Amino acid sequence: MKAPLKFKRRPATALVAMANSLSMGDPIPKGDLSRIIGAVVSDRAERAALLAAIRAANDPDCGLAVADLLTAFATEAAEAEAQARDADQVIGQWAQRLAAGALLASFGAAIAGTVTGGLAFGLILLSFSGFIFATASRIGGRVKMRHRAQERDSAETLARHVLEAGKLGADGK
Amino acid sequence: MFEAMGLETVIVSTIVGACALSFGASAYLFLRARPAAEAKTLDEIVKNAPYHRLHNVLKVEAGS
Repeated sequence: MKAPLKFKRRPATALVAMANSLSMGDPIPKGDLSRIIGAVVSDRAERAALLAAIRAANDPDCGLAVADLLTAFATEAAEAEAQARDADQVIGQWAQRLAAGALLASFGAAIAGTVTGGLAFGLILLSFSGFIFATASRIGGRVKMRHRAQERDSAETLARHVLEAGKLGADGK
Repeated sequence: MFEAMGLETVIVSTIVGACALSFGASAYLFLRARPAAEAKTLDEIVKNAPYHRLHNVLKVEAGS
């Protein structure tokens, strides 16, 4: 495979540039780095472009630096995923149970006649909307959790491939 | 002190309290899951990346 002579400015080449800059001691804002890695990891075209750029690079350490950044990103994503799972299981689940319990209690109070009329209707409505809100927020949190897990997996695989590409490039094949 | 409270008051306040807790927890989860506002767009970051560091490692097109 012959790599193009000049690469375009895109997230993949920006990541290589940032890795090089970091290894030379220049600071890079952490948020920028994470966003670039996120963009590269989640896009197939960027992944392919990154591998081609690593193969074409003259510096064998370049692949190593990029792979290390990707692994660090995967660790961060795993940490964020664990936090999201904790929040879902500790807070989300109990918010849902509490709202479901309130719904049942308001049904019970209305049926037994302890609470009547508009007040009973208001209580049922309140607890029902609370249950729906709790479920919706839990779904939102879980979507984010799954997204993080996917990012972590992609970053780990890409780091391995980048190391391989670096080896191929260094052999001059 | 509590003897004067009727059964209705107790039940209504319990249910309302449970709903308030549940709403609070859900609101916290919503705020947590909301993506943080980004100061820069991806295009800006790509454009301003330190390409000058790549001059003898990789050839990257000049300009955007």
